Amino acid sequence: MANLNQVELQNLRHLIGSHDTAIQKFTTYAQQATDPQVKAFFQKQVQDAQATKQKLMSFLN
Amino acid sequence: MQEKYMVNDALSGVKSELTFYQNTIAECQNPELRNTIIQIRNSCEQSQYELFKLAQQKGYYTPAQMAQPQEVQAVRSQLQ
Repeated sequence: MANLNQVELQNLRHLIGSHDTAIQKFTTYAQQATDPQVKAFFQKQVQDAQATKQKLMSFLN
Repeated sequence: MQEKYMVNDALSGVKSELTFYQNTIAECQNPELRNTIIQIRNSCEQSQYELFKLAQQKGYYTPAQMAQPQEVQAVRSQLQ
């Protein structure tokens, strides 16, 4: 099992949840953005948030 | 939603995120988790600056006005 204390576990819970929300939000923002640079930024945020979520999830294995 | 509001929401969110990363790093006992959060924090800081420059360039965000020389001098006098 993961070698985590209670505070680390709760911080991970918060971070993973907030990245889940970010994935949903930036997907919507990327769809709605009209400026190409802004759209590309939001699209990259979605990819980064997905990768970060997976990285953080690995600490719960 | 207007693009301006989406960009400013993202800017506001990333500031909160950076604060949370910093607190999490300080509270980490597990070295592997600590190093991972440091890497994520560093990447987030780069992304925040990229967004800040983009927001400024598009006119979606206006930073604070520059301090006047006499205002800087006043602070220096107070702290000497």
